[in-house]
Amino acid sequence: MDSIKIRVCDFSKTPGSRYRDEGKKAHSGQEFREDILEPNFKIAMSSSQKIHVDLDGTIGYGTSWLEEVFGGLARTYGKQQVLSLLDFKSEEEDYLIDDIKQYIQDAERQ
Amino acid sequence: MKKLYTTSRYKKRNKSRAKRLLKRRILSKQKGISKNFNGQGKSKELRQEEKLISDYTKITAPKHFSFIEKPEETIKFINKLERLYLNNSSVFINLKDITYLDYSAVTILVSVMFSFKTRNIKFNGNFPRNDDLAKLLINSDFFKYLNKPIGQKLEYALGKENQIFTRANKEVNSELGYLVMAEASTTIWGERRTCKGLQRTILELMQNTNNHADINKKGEKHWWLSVNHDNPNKKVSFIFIDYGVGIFESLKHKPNDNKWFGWFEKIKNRLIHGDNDEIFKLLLEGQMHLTVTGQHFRGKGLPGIREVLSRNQISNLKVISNNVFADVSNNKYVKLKEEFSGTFVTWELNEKNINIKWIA
Repeated sequence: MDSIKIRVCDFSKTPGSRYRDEGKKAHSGQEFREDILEPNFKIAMSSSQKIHVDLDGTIGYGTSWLEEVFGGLARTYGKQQVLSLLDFKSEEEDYLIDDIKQYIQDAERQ
Repeated sequence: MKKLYTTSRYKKRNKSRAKRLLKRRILSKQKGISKNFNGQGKSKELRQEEKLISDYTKITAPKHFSFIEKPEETIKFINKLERLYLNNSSVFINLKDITYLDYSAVTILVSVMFSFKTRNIKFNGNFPRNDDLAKLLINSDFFKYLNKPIGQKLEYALGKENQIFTRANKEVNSELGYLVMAEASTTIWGERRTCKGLQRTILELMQNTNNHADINKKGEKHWWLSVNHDNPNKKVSFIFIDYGVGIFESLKHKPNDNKWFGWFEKIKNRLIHGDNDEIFKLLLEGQMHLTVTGQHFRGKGLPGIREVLSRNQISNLKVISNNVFADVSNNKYVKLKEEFSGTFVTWELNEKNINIKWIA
């Protein structure tokens, strides 16, 4: 299966807040999800591709950013769909992948 | 003699006028005598200072001025200042006799000064007699801004980037972490290193202030971050403070549809005495999150910062909020006699903390 590659560091080396309105220099999760991840997710759904998200190359993540991006995607498209189409690379912080999967699992209950 | 001076109406008026003037002369003389008397034995500087502060309410800072080491005394001092701030009263802080001052106190002084000045309330203070303590305050830019007008701004930047560096903002500013990390890692390891736990800590705290410091509206309160470089010991300490409602007050005011609503009822079976120090321990360990929301707690908010500590990405984490002092690194949770309206967090980055190569 082909995959679409997304590197978070191409969006920003300093991903920050949950929502756009929380700061002008916040590089929010909402912005990443709406402008980058969702358009690619739609392509992936229609072309049966996977999305490979590379989390390395940033100076670190706040949990609200991660929850908004991946939990937010699951709230729109359903956790099964999201879990089946996304895979992750996080060599610098291996614990992030488990956290993100848990955010996706919990998302629908919010 | 003119006829006027002999009239009884004139005599009566003249007598009362003379009485009034005599009274005024006596009072004025007494005032002069008392002024000279009070000034006796005092240096010119002291007399000038007394004249200067006559319009202010004088408050003496705690002798051992440290939020970390003497939280109750410092909270008392902050609460006095808060009352004067709410009454729009001018304040003069007497720092002359302090014998100890650390970065936590400096951050409080700087942030309180800005709060007063943004509301155009007069704020002044004197130098500590101890030269080293005075130098610490001078390096923080406290005195630089003391006599300068400060407008209402979203962001303030004070101090020197590789010494004491203080930033204030109401928003989440993730780019600040880049600058802070580059400077801090250079002090510690002699080169830029990536410290992901540091960025997570700063982001969680900024996000908390932005979202929860004010019960009614997001982004209402400033957060203050002070970064203090200890070059000889190769460590950098951080102070983060906001004067919001504090963690427990914020929890008390959750609306009915919030997942935290009714949290106390849900966790009370897990509590022994039910005080905030006990609750805070559960909160930081993520047990409260798990019990109240039924969800995975890893990484979220304050438990996320504790995890950063457990992973050895930061050291020496301490939190003060409302009436709780938590020395998280030493697993010590203490209930305070005084109530601090806000959240204070301090931590340290040192040679032993986990880091990776600098992101290109």
